[in-house]
Amino acid sequence: MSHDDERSELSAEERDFVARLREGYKPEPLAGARATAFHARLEERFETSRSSRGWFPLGVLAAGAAALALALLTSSGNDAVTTLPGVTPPSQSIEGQTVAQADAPAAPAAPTAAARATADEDLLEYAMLDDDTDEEESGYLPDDYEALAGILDDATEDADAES
Amino acid sequence: MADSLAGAGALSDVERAQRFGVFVAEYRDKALRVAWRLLGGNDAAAEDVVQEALIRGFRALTSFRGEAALSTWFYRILVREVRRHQRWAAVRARWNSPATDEEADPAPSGTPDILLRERIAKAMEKLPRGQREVFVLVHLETFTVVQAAEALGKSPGTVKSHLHRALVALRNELADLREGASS
Repeated sequence: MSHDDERSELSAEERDFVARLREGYKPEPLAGARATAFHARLEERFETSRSSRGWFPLGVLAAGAAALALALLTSSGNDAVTTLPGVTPPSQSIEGQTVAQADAPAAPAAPTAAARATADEDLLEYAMLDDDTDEEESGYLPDDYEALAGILDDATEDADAES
Repeated sequence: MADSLAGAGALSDVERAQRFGVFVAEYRDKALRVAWRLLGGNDAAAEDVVQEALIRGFRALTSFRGEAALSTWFYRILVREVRRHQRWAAVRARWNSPATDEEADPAPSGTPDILLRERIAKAMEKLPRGQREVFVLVHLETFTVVQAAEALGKSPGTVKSHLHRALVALRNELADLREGASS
């Protein structure tokens, strides 16, 4: 991935300046104990991802978070209705459980080929999303974090626009 | 790497691990450098982001259709992981005290090289995200404008605009380096 186009339009002085930044702003090579730790951790993560081929961050985690949120809502809802007359806790509870079961992830240990293909499609989509669809990846975040992240993104975009 | 991963599991898993090892060997060092530069010189964050990108990128290989060069595609995944990390870090920084902010500079200070690196990192941090990304990819990592545009999901025109503004800002911020370079 090396080809001069924009860089060739720089003046000699600008090229020197950029070269100085390039040399002065680079990490130490990954070596020794750091490299060993890096690969140990990478291997661990690779094994984890391999053993949950339904692709856990995208599918299972999101579905699990949704199920957990529903379970918490159901739980807190039940607490609330004990003090609120006129509400029918049994139907709420059953409805909540039904939804939670419907949204619950399938066991990740035995995904079907179709599920794997879907997960791969999700990854492809993830990789090809452009900035305009960045919000879609914010599904990784819990709702309250997501709202805050959205505000921060807006502030960043504003700063970009002003610069 | 591949050998250590190939210790258990069925043959397909062994092959998979070996291929992953090759994939890691091909991308690791440059990916670490790109992530490190985009993340303000934070080693731990760069390593974490690169690991995630390598795993995602390798998994996504099964869906790779060749619309873009594989390397461009991988760096697009990497950039997205960097952004995701930055968003999380920004949220955590808002909610936590500064003492627990992981983006605090972890590098020891003292030698001229490290001091220079810290100065450049601070100047880079002052750039808006878009400018920082294109400057790192094009000027520091020698991507072409088109490659950077693909990796960042921006138009080449936007990349050029950001690039110009970033260079002006950095030349102002690090004027002594500019003078030193020309002397």
